[in-house]
Amino acid sequence: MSYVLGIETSCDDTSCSILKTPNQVLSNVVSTQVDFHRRFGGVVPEVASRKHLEFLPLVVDEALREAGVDLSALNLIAVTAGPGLMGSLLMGVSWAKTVALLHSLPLVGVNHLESHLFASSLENEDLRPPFLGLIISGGHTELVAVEEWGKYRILGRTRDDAVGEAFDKVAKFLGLGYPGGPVIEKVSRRGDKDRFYFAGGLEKDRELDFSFSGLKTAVIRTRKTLEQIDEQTIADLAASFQESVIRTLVKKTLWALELTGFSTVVVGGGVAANRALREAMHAEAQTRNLRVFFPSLPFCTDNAAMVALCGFFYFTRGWESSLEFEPNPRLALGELPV
Amino acid sequence: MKRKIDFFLSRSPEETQNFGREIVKGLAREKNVLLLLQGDLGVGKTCLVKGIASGLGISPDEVVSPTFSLINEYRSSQGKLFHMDFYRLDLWQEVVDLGIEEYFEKEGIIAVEWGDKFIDYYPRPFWVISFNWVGEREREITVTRWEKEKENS
Repeated sequence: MSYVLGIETSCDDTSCSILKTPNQVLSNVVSTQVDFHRRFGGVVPEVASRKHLEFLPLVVDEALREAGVDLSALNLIAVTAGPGLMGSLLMGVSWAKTVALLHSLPLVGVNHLESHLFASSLENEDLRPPFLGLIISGGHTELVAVEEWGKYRILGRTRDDAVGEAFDKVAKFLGLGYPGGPVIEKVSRRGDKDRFYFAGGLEKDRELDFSFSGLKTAVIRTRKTLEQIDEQTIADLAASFQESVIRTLVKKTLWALELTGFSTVVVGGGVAANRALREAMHAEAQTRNLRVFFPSLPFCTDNAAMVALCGFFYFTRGWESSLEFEPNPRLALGELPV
Repeated sequence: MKRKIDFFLSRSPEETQNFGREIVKGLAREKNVLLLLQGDLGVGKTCLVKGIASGLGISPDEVVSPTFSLINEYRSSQGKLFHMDFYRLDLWQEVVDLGIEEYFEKEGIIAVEWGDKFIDYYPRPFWVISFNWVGEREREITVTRWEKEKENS
């Protein structure tokens, strides 16, 4: 049994987690959950690498406190090494290296995309490849054949906007606020998903790549041509948009399963938190005798618990990062930082 | 100083991409190019950048939205393309803090979606490419050259 400290700073949120191996999450703290902003007494920009530097000590302290674990009890540090924003990654990696050096702890740099594929394993210890991975977030949309851990084949990816980005932009355009995923899901519940038909992008011919830019434009265009806009119309537009996204994701997932012969799907990333998508996938799974895994909500969005688990996996395989390793903003799935 | 230098009516995403290729040809002799893309969501900014990539011999399918990553870099034997997006940024201070400012010194084509947000701050001359909706697929695209006026003129 070991205690792993996970650090995740690839994008906007700072997260730290303490994992008791094999897979017990003792704490998983994300900067957005806690009212850290008030402690600064000033405006903190939404996107800023410096923000991570200010949040890290607070988030780490909170994670250790919640877990009831002392720094001296740790056995391993796992940190996101890419892909992500260079400035933001650097903050987490530099912090992790410093703590590793000070406390003579081993360090493992983790691939952010791969850690999303590990998220479902936090709650399903027996989950093993082979399976089809679907990573859906603000920055990524990828269908991946996972033959074994570490061995990945990209089957499809977006050619323009990521799926979470489409949610955010449509929500903002419809005046629903941010983040787009939860607000569209909420408004859609009182909308008529069949009022408008929006093509999902590359929906035909078993194409496994995605395209959400045309869908976004179609929603905007439809909204602009409507003369009467009331709350119901906005809800109908949101519901019809969400329906199109879900239809596309489900359809391509099923095509990819046929292609690979796999019968298990593992979904990860912030968009995996969408309840309508979870229901649609589970319904397909039941009728087709498939196994579908979604992480519970805190492990869908960027979090350090999945980083800790992924890092521990590699550590048990004998992998360790040197203190000289550099973050890589363009790290591809299957690559480890050197 | 602003100088309108080109005007184009695109009737489809394909024509917008073609215009991107034409831009690359027109700028072939420039070493550093800074393009600020201005226009509503869904008007075709990323589409134009796909055309610019194609003009540099980079596959347009490789070019994806940089809204979350903020910067995507592409390179081919014909040159470098830095595709940026300031949609999520509200302050020039964020551009500086994220280390993006350094990119404006680099050789290649820099195309910045929502780049007009910080129009007063750029350290060098640039072009603004503005998109306007005309119809469902039609877009009016205007190219304007911006240079700071000389202090003592």
